[in-house]
Amino acid sequence: MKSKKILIIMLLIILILFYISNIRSIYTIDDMAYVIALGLDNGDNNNLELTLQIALHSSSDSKGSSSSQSSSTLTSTVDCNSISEGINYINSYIGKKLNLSYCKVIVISEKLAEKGINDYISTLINDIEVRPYCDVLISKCDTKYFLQNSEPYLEKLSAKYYENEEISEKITGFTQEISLLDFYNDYYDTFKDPVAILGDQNSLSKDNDGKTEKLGLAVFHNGNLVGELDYNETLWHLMVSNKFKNTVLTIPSPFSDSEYISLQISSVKTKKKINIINNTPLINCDVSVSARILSATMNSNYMTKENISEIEDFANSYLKSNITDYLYKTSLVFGADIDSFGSEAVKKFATQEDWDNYNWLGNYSSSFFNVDVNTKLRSSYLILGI
Amino acid sequence: MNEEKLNYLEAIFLIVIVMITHIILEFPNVIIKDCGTSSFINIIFITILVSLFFIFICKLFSPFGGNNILAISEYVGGKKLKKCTSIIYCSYLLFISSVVIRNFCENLKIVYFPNANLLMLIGAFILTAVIVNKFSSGSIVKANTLLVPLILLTMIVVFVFSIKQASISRFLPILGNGLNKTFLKGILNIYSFGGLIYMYLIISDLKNIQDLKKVGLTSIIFSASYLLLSVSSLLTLFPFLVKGSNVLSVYLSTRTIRLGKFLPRIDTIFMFIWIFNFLLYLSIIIYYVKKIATETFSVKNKSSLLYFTAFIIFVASLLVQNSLQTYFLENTVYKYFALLVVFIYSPAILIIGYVKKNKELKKAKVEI
Amino acid sequence: MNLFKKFASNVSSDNTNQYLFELGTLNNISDNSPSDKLKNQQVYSNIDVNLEYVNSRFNTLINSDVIIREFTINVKAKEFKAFIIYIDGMVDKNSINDFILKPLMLKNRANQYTGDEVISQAVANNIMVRKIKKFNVIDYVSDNLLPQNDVKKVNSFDKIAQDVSSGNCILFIDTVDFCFDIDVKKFDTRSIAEPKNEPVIMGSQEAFVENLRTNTSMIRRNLCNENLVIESLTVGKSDKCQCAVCYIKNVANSDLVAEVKYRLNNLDVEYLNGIGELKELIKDDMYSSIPEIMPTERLDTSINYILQGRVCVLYNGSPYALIMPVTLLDFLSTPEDYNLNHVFSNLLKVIRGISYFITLLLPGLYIAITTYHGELIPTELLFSIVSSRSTVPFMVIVEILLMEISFEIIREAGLRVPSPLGSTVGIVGALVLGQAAVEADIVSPILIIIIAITGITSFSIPDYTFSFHLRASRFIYILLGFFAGFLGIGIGLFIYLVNLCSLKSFGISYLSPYAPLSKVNNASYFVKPAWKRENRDEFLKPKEIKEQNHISMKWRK
Repeated sequence: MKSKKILIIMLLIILILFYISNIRSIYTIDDMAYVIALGLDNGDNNNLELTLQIALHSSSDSKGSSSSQSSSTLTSTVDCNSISEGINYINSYIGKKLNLSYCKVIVISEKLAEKGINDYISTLINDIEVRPYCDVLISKCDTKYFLQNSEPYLEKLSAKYYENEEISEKITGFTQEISLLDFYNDYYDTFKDPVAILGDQNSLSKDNDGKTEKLGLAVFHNGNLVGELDYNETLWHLMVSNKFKNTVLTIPSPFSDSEYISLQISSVKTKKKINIINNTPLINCDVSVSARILSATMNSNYMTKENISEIEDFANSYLKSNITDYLYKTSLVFGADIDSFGSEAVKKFATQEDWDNYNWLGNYSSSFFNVDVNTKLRSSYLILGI
Repeated sequence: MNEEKLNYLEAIFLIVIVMITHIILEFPNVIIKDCGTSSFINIIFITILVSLFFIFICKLFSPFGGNNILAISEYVGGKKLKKCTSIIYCSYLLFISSVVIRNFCENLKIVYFPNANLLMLIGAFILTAVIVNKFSSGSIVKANTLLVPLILLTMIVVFVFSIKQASISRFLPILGNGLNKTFLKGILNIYSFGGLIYMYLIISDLKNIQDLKKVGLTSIIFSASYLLLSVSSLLTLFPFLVKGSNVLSVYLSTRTIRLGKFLPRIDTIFMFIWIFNFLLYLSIIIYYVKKIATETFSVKNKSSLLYFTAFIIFVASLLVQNSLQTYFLENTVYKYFALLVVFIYSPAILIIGYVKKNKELKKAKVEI
Repeated sequence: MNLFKKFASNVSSDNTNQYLFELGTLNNISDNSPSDKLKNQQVYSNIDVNLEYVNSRFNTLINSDVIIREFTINVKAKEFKAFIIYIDGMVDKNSINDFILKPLMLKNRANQYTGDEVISQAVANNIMVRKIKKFNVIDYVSDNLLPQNDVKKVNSFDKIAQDVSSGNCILFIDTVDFCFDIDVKKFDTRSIAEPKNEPVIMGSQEAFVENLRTNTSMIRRNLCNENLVIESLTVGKSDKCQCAVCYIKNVANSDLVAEVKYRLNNLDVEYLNGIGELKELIKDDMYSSIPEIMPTERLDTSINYILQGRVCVLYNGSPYALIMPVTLLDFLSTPEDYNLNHVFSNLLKVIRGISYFITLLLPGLYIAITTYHGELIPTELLFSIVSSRSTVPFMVIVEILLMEISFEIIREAGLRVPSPLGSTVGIVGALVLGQAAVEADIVSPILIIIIAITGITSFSIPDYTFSFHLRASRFIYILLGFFAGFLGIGIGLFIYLVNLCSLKSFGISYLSPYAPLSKVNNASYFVKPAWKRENRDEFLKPKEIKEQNHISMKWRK
């Protein structure tokens, strides 16, 4: 028993020594400044411009009951050669240690992305603090402008604003949630090319309030930005890659030129079949769409057998032409397989060596597409038609 | 004393903990790097091989009653061979424990304490294992029986959460890096079942000797299923691993778990649970080294032996200079050491002993 | 000037009126205890010698409550000198008067009868042959003249001393080297009341009292089993307090009973301060703060455990019973668990299990997370904590220790405070200290919540001694969390778990039935439905394992 006591005391001494040796590098939650967004842009002299959006918390008011969450933020910008150097510079004047554990989004400007961003992504994914599922966003405007104007419409809290973007994505389908890990994985993946969220000044709203939006996707190939998808093309991308959640699609009405029919599309499944003929991929897509009619006009009765089949046929041809145009854009203009057709193509190969030798991502630009759409109109909502 | 005898479940968990430790550290990474996308097939293949091997070992143990490998080596080659076997076993256990603890402490430094002193970290672990060995002998096994289900559960949680982001096409192309690497060179991957070394030692501690086969096969199946699950989840989550990147393998999977918006970095909790894993691993190794040395060299003062063992592990773990050396030791040196001790040397002794015993039994029958 | 002189002289002079007292060394103190020669002394035949001995042994010249009544008894018309000795306040005086003094002193037919006692008679050849009992004073007095139900013959002065101290009356008679030890106890004790410290809603409301005989009678009354054995032992050399060991003969393991009795009989102590000290002296692990014997004041708990095959020890003067052996899971059970529907009981058990971990670990985890692992906290909660802490000048460890110690002081003060002020202290402590501390920016509000939750969960642990152990261990985890974060807490928990695994309580493992894994069919933490409680706990190795038939509800078809 005595020896046990002595050993336990020795263990306590070791832990105390451990604490003492570590004491200068322990940062409690009070000593840290929390970064909620990180921005990278082209700086002066071809340097990197690092912008950090840091959460400011209001000190507690008299009763300690005021909202003390991230009600305001501070944006800080430096010129540096690398992300770590930039963080070091900002640490020197901010007064607290920067902590990237709560970083929700990484914003990279379009100009920087055209030069290639895999170095920055690799640095960030290697960092123990940065969470692998923070979003990656390519901004068409300046990064600093984007971060300063990313104010929520309905929320008081900037950090929550970034989290709530997921909701918009799930409802509209106009962009896709791409995390740092997704991007990094896709970069190394031989099946597909990476995409990132596209951000810009708000173009849909007529209020000219200068706030920002996330609409569309940025397409990468070999680590460089090669093009963009606007919000409609993003829809086709999500449909083809089986990541579709929800959207409202408005098609011209087959019954009248001046009318439009809005369809609530809730589920899209695409079956892909790939044949490789003379090293050229022939890609067949069977898209099954399930929709409900949202809009209704006074004299329309959509729910008759003929009308349903007419709307379905029209929707099929509308979707088919749009999807085909989109697919050829990805192959001819971008040369980037962002719909992961490679995961189907790989079934034709037995070993990794054969697959690597074929170089799917290089051969994608010569692909041919065959798209078939099958829309099933289930019903409308409350009014079936007169 | 009946209390010190292991029952069926305790013995299984004793072997499984070794496997889980290595799965957490590096096994899935190594297998994926070697075999690529055919790791799945490779693991099923080596599981079948190891099960057959184990059934063969059980047959070799059968005429000896409840004797463990040390007693059998004494029977085969006298005290010299027994001492030689003990030294080999002890050095194997000490080597692997020091490498494992160094590896884990380095990773703990990365995750928890970036600027901590490695000396103190390793010292704390080893001192805890020494303290725990001072308690009564059955207590480590009991603690093992209580903690291993928790650790296994956490591993299942990791795998379940990774299903969401998994894509089955990442198992393709099916033959990965080729037939050679999957089936021929891939045989060397049986070193992942290096935990079977305890089977040679615990037979004398089992309550019921007939349980040995059941214990062994169950633990092989457990270990294999965990290895399979971890490899599958890593393969499907991280395509870059096929090119080979040496990091704390299962920890990478835990970083991708999202419990809604609530808990941001849940990997910290998993690391906390794995601390128990490594403490158990170290305690069990020190316990068995003490046992082997006591049995072979008739040591009277067990405490000094305990401190000496701890000191050797401490010094050995500090000899390594950087991560590259650690990975080399763990992935190459340990591989061949395990293959040698568990799959070549011990079966050789058993085969010679079995043949010798059979001859004696035949002679005895003829004389009757 | 005169006043100044007086003042100066007062200040500078020694105060010779101060009362001085110092304890003398051992040589100066007269030793009043009986020397070894006087111990084991037997009763003398001569009553005068007995009287002198008794006067010196019981210090009757200075003890005001030791009464000696000398009188003459009449036996077969002969007179013998006699005296009784008893302690005033502990005896039933009416019993002594009516059933000891009257039949012996007053001349009546029984003590005046001079004839012979005929054992048998026979007629043979017209001659009657009678067998007559030889006259013996002791036998005659005990058989015919003492109409009292509990009379024993003793001849050892040690036994006499013990019994007089416990309330018996001793009768000495001249020419006889024995004396009569008559039980005439009557003294005021506390009546059976509700258990104050272990309340339940659905269960018996009877608790033990200080008197041993009352407690044993309660157990007998509620456990109507002829196999219930209540053995009496004495513990302590000076106070010779009675102990009762209760068990069921055909259920409890004999080795267990023998071990309990062995430990109780082999305690070389002068006296015991109470049952708590007895518990500390007979438990297995000397140094561990983890309780290995359960004290309980509830009657139904004790009966439940006795029926399972455990042993219950009662001690005269203490309203608590000791139950042994016990496991960790017993400390998280209440007697209500078997009275309620098993679903509700299991829910409560889950809550108690969670409370166990919260009481032990919550402050330690808080300090580890805020110091080393801040990334675990959800974003908005983190900002909330940081802003509430921004005006607090202390480190987290100082805050926690300050509040923990304050909470313990409040708890201790609440126990000691006189009852009219009891509720006031609660209000002062909780509202003023906690709220005011937050408003003065000494501590942060989140810490008050942590401390309050920890305190409340410690009250949900049913056993008082066990919750004490958790309260004490909590500080260790706070320190470990502060020094090494999750690593420190992990190391602490690991050593704690291995310690628990190594503990034994009277031969059974402390973490039974989970370590070593015994047949979980028989025993587990969770309560089975009433119709499935077929077997007793296997780890107790009872003589009879079956508790219930496989189909216990025979009325169901």
